[in-house]
Amino acid sequence: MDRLVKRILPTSIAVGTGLLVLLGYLLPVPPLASVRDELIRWAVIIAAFAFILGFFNLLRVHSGRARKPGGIYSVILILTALTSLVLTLAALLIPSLRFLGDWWFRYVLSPLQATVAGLIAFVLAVAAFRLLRHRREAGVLVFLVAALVVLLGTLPLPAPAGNWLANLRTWWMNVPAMAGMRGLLIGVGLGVLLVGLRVLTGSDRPYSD
Amino acid sequence: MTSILPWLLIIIALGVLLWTAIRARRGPVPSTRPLPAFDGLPAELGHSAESGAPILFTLGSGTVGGDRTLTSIAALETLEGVADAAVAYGTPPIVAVGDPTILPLAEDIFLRAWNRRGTPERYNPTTVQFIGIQPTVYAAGVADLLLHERAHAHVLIGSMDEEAALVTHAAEGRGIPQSVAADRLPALGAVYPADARLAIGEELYAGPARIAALPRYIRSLRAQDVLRFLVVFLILMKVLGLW
Amino acid sequence: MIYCPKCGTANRQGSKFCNECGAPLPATGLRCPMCGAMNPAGNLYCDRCSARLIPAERVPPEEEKPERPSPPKGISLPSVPLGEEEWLSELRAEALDLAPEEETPGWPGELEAPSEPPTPEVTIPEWLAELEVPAASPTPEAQPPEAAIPEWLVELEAPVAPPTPEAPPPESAIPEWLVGLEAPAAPPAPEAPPPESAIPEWLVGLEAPAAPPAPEAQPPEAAIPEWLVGLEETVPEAPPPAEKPTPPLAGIPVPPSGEIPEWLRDVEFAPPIQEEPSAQPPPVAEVDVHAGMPSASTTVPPILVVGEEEILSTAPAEIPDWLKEAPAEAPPEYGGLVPAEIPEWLRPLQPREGVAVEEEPTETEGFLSGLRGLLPIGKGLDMPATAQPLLPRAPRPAAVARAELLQGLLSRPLITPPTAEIREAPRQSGWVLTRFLVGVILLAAILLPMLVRLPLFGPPTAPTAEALFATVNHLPGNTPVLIAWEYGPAESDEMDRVAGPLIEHLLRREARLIVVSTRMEGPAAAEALLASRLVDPSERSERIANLGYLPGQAAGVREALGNLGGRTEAMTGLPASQLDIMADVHSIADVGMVVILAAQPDDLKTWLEQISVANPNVPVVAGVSARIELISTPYLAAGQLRGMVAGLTGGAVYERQLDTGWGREYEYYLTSLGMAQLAIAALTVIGALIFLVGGRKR
Repeated sequence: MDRLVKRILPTSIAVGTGLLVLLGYLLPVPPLASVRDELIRWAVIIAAFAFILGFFNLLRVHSGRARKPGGIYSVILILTALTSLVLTLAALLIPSLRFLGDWWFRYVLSPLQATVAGLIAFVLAVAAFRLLRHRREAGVLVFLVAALVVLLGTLPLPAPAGNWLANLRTWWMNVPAMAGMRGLLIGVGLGVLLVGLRVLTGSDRPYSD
Repeated sequence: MTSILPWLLIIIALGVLLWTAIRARRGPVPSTRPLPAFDGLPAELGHSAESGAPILFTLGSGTVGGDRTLTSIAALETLEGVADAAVAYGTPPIVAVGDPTILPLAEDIFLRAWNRRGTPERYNPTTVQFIGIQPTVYAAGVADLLLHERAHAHVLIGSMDEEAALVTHAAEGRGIPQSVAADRLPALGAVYPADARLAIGEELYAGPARIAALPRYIRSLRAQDVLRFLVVFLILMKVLGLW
Repeated sequence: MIYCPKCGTANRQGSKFCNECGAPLPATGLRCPMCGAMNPAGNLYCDRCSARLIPAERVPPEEEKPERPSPPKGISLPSVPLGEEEWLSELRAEALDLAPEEETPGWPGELEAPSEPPTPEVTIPEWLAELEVPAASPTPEAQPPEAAIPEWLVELEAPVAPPTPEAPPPESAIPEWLVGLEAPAAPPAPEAPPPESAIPEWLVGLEAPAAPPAPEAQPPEAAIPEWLVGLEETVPEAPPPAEKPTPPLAGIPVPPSGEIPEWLRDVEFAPPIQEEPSAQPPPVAEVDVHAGMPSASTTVPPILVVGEEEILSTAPAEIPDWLKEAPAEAPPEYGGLVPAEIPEWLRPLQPREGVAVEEEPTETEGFLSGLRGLLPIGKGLDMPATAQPLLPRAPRPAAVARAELLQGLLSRPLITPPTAEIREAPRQSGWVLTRFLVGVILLAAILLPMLVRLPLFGPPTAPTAEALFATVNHLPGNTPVLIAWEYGPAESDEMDRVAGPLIEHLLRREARLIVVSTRMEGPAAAEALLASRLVDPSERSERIANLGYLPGQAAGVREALGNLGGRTEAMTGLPASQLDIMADVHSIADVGMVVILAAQPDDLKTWLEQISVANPNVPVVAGVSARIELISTPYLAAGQLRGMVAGLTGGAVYERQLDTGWGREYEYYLTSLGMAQLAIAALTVIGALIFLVGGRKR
């Protein structure tokens, strides 16, 4: 019974629904398409509940961390999360309070996210500086050359250097970089295909033993 | 032609998978080439047990239900391969997820690991932590974990873009060893200069085979190799005008 | 099915490795009972340890065996020494043949079941078989009882019923082993024939103690066997012994006088030992064993019977000659029994005369009370075992050192686990300096154009942006345009500069903008930009419909494309079908253009794929981030995109085409971007030179 509930039943549901959705995409049969859409709608609703799990997980983790040294940031995070929840619910329930939500988003959340995104450039610059510190391979030299070509080729430098660099960049982007990108994407695509088939055939069961 | 192509691809892939499965029954399980990003994981687990500091696993911002689903599933399979050992050592890792749909799957991995161990009461609900749904926010949160938590090593395997540079930079600043497996182009460009053992592109999908070493994973890799050669053959045929 | 020995998964027959865990599967065959190795089914011996895999068949007993003289029946004292151990060797051989079979383990399913399970057969030597005396007595009283103990022995313990007339003992063959027994040189027997019922010599002198009161069970009535009846009548008077012998029946309970058989009535019985536990047992008289042996005229019950029948049979047998030669008269004190002469081989066992034999104590407690001969509780049994004290000697230095070490370890305080301290990794050399320098350089590159106008860069060029401008410029007025707003606050700094001119251009073309997003923050980001680009806010409801967040990514996109009118306006909460702007827009088929504003390659791909399925003919244009320009270019080349504006450069070109008045801002952004790119390129080269020359660090 335990095996039935923990292994056979979830596998049957996963494989069955996966096959139905796949056939719904591949076969132009209206009943299958409607079944497919309905199953996807269910999946979307179930995934929405996962956000609630994530929210409570966030509160649990940081409530425990708040008691440790340096826990002030966890306190701020918890307060921010609760404020966002309250304001969003208020905007939904009381239309006149929607401006609070807009204000919170535009002047608190957006700048914070933009700031963090801006750090990426700084980090990439540091990483570029230390490129040869840890690796001395042929690939590193190719990477170095490609980085310089793209960085300089994007700049609207005056002619003729600007034109030459721009043409080189265009060639580099369209030929070697594109070829490498496509090769990488084909390999990744095959990997994704086989992982998907493993899940679809029940060979992989990330949801059970 | 467009309507037949998906069918053809699926049928060929299933056939190759079946063929590798049949071959596997009749012979030894083939080995995989060394993958530095994954080969050092068992040793890191042992060192983590000795030092008492956990390993931080970053599973990326992939979600279940989107284009990044299967990358996240491959990452979960790799995590499952180390879960039993980590639980046995008594130092379960810290797992940071960027999407709440991955959260219950990752939690279930460790819950089952503790159940198999016979001590489900030792499962800590904070083993898996949801950081944030925005990729940059997630990366910043993981960087914070690396800076302020006592992590022995860092493993990044999952779907991330250039924000992975924030994570690898933090780990490098702490001086802890890290392994990075990325299949997305922006992430590859960002993590390549980092001091990390890299698994590039489809090598990420070899993680479960390398860590868990289960026959179905290795058979899948073999099928992947066969399909790759088939694609190369078709491309050459097209380029040479033979098809 | 073959079940994996490691994980228990069922695998198909013929599989060599488990499908689940990869462990090698045991091939169908035989498992060696000795080493456990698997062997092919046809093997007889193990390939690894050469042990026998299949038990050998039982060797059939030889049909023809040499005849051996039948062994004598009765008590084991064969007159003729048996031939060597031919029967013994046969038994030994049979036992060896049986050995492999006995060692066969019982592993079901792995061993081929033998066709004929061997059945061990025990061959009974002839001398044992002939010991079984045929029951020839016609009288029912003389029939041997079912019990193993013969009646004559039973009567020793319990009172015997009055004797019933006995029939004359039947004639039975004298055991061969008794034949030929020479009677010892006994005192000349009287001429009178020895009484058939003479008491055996070995019983002479036996004295039975007074029997304890028997409270319970009535002794069963047992008839006196014929051979005993005859003995009593014919027993001669034995010569008086030199000394009064100790009654050998000491300790045996004496039945009531009324129940003593006749042949025992003349026997003196010693008082019961129980009353005198310390009493010395009477010395055993030296009796002539041979003289006391039953004569040939008397019947002697065979002692040993082979088979499952009673060991002791009371079937009367013919009295051997040695018994017949017994003295006619027994010593008076022995009731007519003639003391026998002890043979030489028995003399060492003879108790020494004059030596007081220590009487065995009688148990007085417990359920064994009344029995003698029990192991006395004494030395070794009642005292607890104590270790012998070690002889004192000087300890070895190594032992002293170990003891001191142990003492030291034990005396130390308990080790407390280390506290969870944040382990600060040792800073790598130049780590802080590197970050500081890189930060300063980048900041300077970005902020310098703000202070100083640097004519380093020329006007930007973006052919794809110019093509897009032309496409939008030809858009008819009041055209519903679906905008996929796929970026959030993290990318808004760049994407707002990409999308801004495009949105403004569409608004200038009088297009109706229908905004959807698969990002949760997308609708809010759209509202922020739209509000800044809209000239007259009051026209918002007539120009813009924000249909909010689409969950489910690709599935949500497909559903939305098929049912735009079924959605809800995010700002007002009204159904889209009730909006004036959506009056004639129900699905993607009613849309004049699709604009994808994406910062992630997946979003662009998702929308392009779904649109190509839903409505391949609708023109699609895109405004993308510079980071996905490389990935988006193939779509442009393939015709799926009619135009594309990428990054700040593309936005600047578009803005220049449109002349929205944001020119100065774009120039600043572009100059800062150029300076930062130059700085990073310079840092890359400098760093490469430094670490190339300085050596690789680990």
